[in-house]
Amino acid sequence: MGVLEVKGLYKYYGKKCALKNVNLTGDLGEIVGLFGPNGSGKTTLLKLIIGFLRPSSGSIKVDGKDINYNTRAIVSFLPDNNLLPSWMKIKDAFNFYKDFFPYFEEKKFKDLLEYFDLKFESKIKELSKGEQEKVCLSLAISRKAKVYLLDEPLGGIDPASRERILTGILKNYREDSLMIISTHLIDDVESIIDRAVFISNGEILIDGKAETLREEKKMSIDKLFRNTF
Amino acid sequence: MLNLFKYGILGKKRYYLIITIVTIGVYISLFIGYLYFRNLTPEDGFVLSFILLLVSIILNGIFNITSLASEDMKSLYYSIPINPKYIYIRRMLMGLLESLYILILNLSFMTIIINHMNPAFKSLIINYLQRGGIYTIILLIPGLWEVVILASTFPIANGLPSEKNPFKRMLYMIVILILVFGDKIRAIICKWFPYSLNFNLPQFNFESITGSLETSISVSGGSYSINIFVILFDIIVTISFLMLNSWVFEKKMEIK
Repeated sequence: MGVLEVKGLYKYYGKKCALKNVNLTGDLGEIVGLFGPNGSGKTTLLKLIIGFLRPSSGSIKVDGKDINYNTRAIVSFLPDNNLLPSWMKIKDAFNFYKDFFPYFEEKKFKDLLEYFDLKFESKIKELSKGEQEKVCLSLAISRKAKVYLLDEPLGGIDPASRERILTGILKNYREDSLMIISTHLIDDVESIIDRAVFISNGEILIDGKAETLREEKKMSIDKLFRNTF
Repeated sequence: MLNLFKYGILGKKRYYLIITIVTIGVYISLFIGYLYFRNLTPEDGFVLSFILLLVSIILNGIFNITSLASEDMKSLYYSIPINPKYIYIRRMLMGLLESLYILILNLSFMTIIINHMNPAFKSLIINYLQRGGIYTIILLIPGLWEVVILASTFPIANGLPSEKNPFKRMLYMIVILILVFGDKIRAIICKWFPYSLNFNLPQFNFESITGSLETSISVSGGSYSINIFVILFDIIVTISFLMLNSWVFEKKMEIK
């Protein structure tokens, strides 16, 4: 049994069907790339897994349990926008995570700040968009969780810093966890993913091991994505 | 819950500072106006103080509803492994405590400064509280907070998924009906159940004699007795909406 099990998931926004019969499983030790064009349902799927959105029908289980506020203790979510209020300093955000999330790894967070060249006393509102994303990413991956959901972790990052961030993610990836990275910058993450899931118009089109897909299709995942969409 | 309060207070440090400075500033201006221009009577001072108190409490209610929508119903608070209903209850409790703080701050400065203008003020206010005016003050804040709890239904209902649109519209409708026709409902309750408690809410009469001219001013809706069923109605409405909103916050709402 996978740590994540999504079965027959549908999500409607009014009359628009954002997700259609999505079935997905994820195992510990996997890094899954969730790829799709804008509006394909990537963020909706991640928000359903963390419990921000409610399924119209279908079920989601994390570690064998139905999604509720308790499962948020083992699911770490990085949204595609800054989630920290403007009054906070990095120090406040660190204390917030330490107080609310069990097993927050202080040392890992401080190391990541140093790695990203960020100051503990800096105010969130004074940081650039890219720096804010680095803080949020550091907070998300410093949690000891079973499932990590990273929504567009490279979205507002310049190409030079992307590699640094990916190295940061990989260096801090826990083998006993599942990580789902949603992005349309496939070329950047292709080297770190074990599995690729293509989603379009709310439907999963391709779901397979990255290595197998490359061998079968005789092309890179990035090229496959460009051919598919 | 304590941690929720801790970060709620930390996030509003600047807001508390502004409230305190503005309130003190208004009272100091009032006092300076009285000292230098002498055209400000203690009655004017009392009315201004009372208006400031009401405006501060109403603004505080509005700020708490906007904070609910802009901070509590966002990713950070909603991703913590705590029953979300406590996030809502925390916000409502914090708002209530802030209103009490505003009340105490205003009453203290009001008494100090107006007493300086008219030494009889202190004994008048003590007499007023002893006559039962304390109940007016005790009921003022929860009375206003009933409206805040009702109004907080709007942002919460707005977070409902599209499948719950009929429920969302029903919530809007019920809240609007209670807010608009609340007084009519209370009047009907008074007519059907004419059972009143024995104490009256007195009006505050602030009288001063300047030479041969006597001026008086009264604050409160007048002297009226409390209908026990109206109070029960308000308590039931407040608790019901507090529970309903908590339930929606926990079970139904979405963070878009």
